[in-house]
Amino acid sequence: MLQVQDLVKRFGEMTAVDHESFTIKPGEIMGLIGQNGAGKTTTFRMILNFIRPDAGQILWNGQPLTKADYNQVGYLPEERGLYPKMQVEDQIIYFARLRGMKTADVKAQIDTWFDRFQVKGKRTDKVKDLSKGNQQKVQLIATLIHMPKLVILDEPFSGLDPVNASLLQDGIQMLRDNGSAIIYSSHDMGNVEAISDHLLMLRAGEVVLNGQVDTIRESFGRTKLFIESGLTQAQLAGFPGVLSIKPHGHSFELTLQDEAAGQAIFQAATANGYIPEFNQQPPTLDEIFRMKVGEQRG
Amino acid sequence: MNNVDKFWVVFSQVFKKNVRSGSWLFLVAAPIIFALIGGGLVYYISQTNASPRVAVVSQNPAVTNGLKAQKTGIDFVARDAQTAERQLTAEKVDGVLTVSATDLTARYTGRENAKSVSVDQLKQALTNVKTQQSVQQLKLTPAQVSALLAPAKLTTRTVTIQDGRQVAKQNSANAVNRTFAIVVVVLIIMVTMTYGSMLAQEIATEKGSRIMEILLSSVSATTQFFGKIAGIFALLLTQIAVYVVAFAIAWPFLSHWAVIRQLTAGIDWSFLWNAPGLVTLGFFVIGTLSYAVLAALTGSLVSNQEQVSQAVMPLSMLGMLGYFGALIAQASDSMLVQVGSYIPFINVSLMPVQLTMGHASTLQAVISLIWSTAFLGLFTWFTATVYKHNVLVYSGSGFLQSMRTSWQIWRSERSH
Repeated sequence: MLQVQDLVKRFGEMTAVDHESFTIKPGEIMGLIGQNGAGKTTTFRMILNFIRPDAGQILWNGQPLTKADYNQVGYLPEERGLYPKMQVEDQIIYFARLRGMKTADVKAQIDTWFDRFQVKGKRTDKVKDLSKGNQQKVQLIATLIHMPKLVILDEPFSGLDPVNASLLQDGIQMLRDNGSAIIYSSHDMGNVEAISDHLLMLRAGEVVLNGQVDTIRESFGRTKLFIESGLTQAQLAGFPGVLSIKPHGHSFELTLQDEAAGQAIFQAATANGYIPEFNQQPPTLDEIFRMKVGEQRG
Repeated sequence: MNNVDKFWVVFSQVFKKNVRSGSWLFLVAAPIIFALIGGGLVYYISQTNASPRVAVVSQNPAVTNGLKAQKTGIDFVARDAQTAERQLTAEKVDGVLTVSATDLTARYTGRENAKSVSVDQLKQALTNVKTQQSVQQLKLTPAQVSALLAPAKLTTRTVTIQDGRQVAKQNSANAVNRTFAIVVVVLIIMVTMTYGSMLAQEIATEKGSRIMEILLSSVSATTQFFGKIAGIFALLLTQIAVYVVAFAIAWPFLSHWAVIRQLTAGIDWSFLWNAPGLVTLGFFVIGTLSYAVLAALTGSLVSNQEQVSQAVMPLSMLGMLGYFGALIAQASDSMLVQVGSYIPFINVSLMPVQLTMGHASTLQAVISLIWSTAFLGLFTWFTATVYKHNVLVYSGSGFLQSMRTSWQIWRSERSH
């Protein structure tokens, strides 16, 4: 279990991380979101012991993380790096051996991992001869092949197409099922929503959201309404509590002041019986993210 | 897996990666290839450069016989004037030497596109014939002949003036020592530069490509640092071993060569295992390690691939300083050179020259070596400490800014 308690890090005048706390249990995936410079990478670097926090502490299974725990860590930095002239297999073996794996074990498992991430290329290919996407997969394999108990992935989805992103999602979930505690950062709220058990949003180093993804969304109320009915845009705009309307073909997307405003619309829309769509949702993570970023600007 | 094991993982990675690299193989092969090409050239010339053939036209057969009897490297053949002219035109001889029978005055006609015949050699050969004839005519005894021919003896002694007195210098500043000093300096500078920049580039590239962050999350910075230094040092030892093996294989063939035998006969090989030789070897080892540590330090300050050359620059500057210092030291024993012989990095090339030239005593050299070793220890400790912070500092504004930021982080971390 990873416990981050009241972490503070300052660089000169700037506070990069401001009283940050969270816990990740084994078998749990936490998504860390925030704008560039919100303190995500600094958080990762403090967990990895690269830099020391000015206050607060980080505990791994109740103890400070030391080099004795390095073999349990899998870390994918934001800017990817491999040795371009090295063969793919040698590259994976080197990183895995640094995590305490034996060469023979790595060799025995490489094929399974190649299949899992559908790597196109041979073990003996040089890294630089692979496509960028495949290089990224090789890097992921090198990060995960030793089945780390603590997985830290900095923007793992960036640069992946939707097919490869879903392969990565499967990979992350596989490690979760194996009991790893996983923390990753992302700009893509779709991925975060799909696989995170837990969500933490940082803004200028401060935690502005922290909790289960569904709970966070619900806490904003079901203020999004997607409706396709006999009602016109003007009629919909006439209901109390409707803040804005966006037409999408035959249907409309309404933003409501509060959840309760939906009831009157539902009754009016269904007065004549069947309608194709009435869907009242909490805001998406993407919208919450923008809302939170907007609050700061406002 | 404990840290010692990870040390070996890093060590073998650095070693294996470079030992297979084109640049290292070229570094090792280049001197061998040059030696082979040079040797081949010498061999080819010695094979194809058959002695020039000179027709001797003389009424006196003793002249031709006298010339033939000498080891001049010229093939003298007796011809009458007409045949000689015809053969010269037909390019069958390279020149015609016409010698009068009485006073041995001679005229030489050489063909322009022929094998070159040295006029001095011809003159010397004729003089020898003339001397022999005079000896016979004067009926001199062998003792008289050798007295006549013995050259004057000249011995030299060099003194320096110290405190108004003449002080004899060690008679070691001879050609062999001078050559040895040059070879040592070039070797030290070449090796330290090459391996230094290899390591600086290795670390700079890892840092620039962010591989460093993965490495640091798997193995402590100190273990990584020492693993790399050791890996580079092992490459150096391998290179030396390759030369030793190559030499051992080549020597049985080389030793048959008269040229090589002549060259090596003049060298007093004892310098390889006497005190100055061992001290020089010590400088070689300490020097390579010092430059490797410096390379790790400057390499760790790089922020991106473009700055790699900046990381190598301090090494080149120190190397050049040492090289020019060594050149000055070969010419004179100035105060600057004496001081420089105790300054780390520079002394690795300066002190061996000073020692070989007799400008410094073995004791002075040993003191300088001990001081360099102590310095290396401190410098390594310092570098290992800042390395960890350096490798995480990225600065867009350049090398010096990185150095400053790294220093600030180091101080702030120490205050915790």
